[in-house]
Amino acid sequence: MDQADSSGMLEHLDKNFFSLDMEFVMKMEILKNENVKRTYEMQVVKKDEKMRLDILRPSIERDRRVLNDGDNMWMYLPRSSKLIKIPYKQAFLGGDASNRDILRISLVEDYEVIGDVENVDGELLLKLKAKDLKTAYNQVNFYLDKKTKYPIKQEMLSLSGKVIKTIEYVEYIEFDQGYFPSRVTILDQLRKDSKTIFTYTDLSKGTDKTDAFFTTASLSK
Amino acid sequence: MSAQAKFSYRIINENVFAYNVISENSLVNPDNLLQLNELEIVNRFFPVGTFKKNKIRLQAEPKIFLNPLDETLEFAINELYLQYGISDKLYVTFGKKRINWGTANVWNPSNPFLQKDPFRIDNRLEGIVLTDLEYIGANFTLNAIFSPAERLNRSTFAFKVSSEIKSLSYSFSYAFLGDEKQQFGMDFSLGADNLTFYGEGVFRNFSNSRLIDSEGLPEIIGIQNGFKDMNAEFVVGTMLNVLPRTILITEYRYRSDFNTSESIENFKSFLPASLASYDPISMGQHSFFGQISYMDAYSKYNLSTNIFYDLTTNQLLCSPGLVYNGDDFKLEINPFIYDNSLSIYDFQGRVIFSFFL
Repeated sequence: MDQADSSGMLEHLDKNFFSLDMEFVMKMEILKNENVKRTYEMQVVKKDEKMRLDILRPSIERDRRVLNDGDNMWMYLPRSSKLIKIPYKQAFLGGDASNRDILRISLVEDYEVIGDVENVDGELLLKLKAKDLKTAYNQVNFYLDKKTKYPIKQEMLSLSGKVIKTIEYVEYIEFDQGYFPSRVTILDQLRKDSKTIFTYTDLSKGTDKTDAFFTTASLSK
Repeated sequence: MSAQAKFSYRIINENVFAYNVISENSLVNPDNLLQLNELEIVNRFFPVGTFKKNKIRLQAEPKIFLNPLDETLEFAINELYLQYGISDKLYVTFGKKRINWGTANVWNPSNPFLQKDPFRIDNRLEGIVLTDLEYIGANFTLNAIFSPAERLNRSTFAFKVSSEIKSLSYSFSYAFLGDEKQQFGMDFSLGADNLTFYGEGVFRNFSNSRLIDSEGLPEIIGIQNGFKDMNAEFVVGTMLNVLPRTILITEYRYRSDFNTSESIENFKSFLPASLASYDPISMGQHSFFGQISYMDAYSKYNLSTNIFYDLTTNQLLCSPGLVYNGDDFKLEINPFIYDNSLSIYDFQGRVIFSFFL
């Protein structure tokens, strides 16, 4: 495949998986040695370049809200009614994913393809390079199903080329005349005993939330 | 389109246990003049209820607590307000509500209504009675708040406009606080990958200080009419993500109308008569706060060290802390170590056990 194909594949991934306007419930389980140490459940709404998460569970974190308004990431703390700006590279709720991993809206915004799509062990390998240093990882390798072009695995590499995180797309469910990942695992390669599992339910395409819903002022509403 | 009515509630129970080592050499509290106890126990309940239907939100947060002095059950209202969304951009709120203006973590000079408890930022403060009109525009947010008093000229009117340019968010505010008291404020927050730089400041035509003059009397600082004679207070700070789970927070506060090294001597000379001017953390013009905190990979343990230092009065307070977060409970352990002749305590130990149902 040539460069044009690989660019088209990035756009396909972005359009169908990452930058889709949608609503869903996301369960996040943080595990150590296969034992669940912490579980969060949150309502997620994505629209254009914006994304908002409202934590539903556990009780101690209920009503905490996280917003990517396109330029910044914010966290609203309901107990103190305080709004704080959160750094991109901070661990999201302590898990293996960074804030940027969870609140990323667009692949195309952050990455560009390098080289052609390669065939590796019956899977397609799409290599992406960060457009700037603001992005959490210097390089991302996507392994895609040869037939469906759905992602199977994603490797995140540091500046030195070392794999620091792996995302595995474990299960898919039917969604909007196609399929969408319903279970995703993030493995921190630096902490082998730890992983974070995301389960997506109640998926719906599009959202009727207005732009005002994605403003810092609306987080306390 | 009619939405389904939604009622949610949560009950929060806080149990505070404090152990105090009262300083024997304190200038402020010689021979335990204030009759402070070594042990203090406070129990607080916050049953929080929220009702939402269509564009209406009704929220109530009473506070029920056992008065530690006479052991009677007391009742207060922290929040009780009705919010109505006139449209998705325009909201009006009536009732008693917490207002949280400003970007700083420990000190919030630009908030004309409430000041945080620096000992416990997460505290549930008592709101103020107000009417708040809020417009959320595409590029800015506008708040207009009226907080009534017994007479109109003692009531508070406050306005704030907030906006953002890329990673810089900022706001400007004005407050008329009754009796000709006025405050002009601004705040900002600049975000980067691993760093947030923030600040807020005000110019006031009045003073919140209670300085002691050379005669031992509280100085009367009148309302200033000229802009150049106004009192300034500002805070600048950074929140640095040292490692993914380790955060360093530093804050500096300047208050033009507070104690200099000369005026603090007046305060000391006329103790205990000047006790009303006492602040256990910082009484001078220059205050520093530093915190380094580490959270484990499961957001369960949070270890931190907090330091307050006043350059003018040499007040130093060090408070390491451990917080354990369960799914529906929280345990906070905080020792407070003081080092100054103005301190009331040499040491305080505090344990807070909270349930969230």
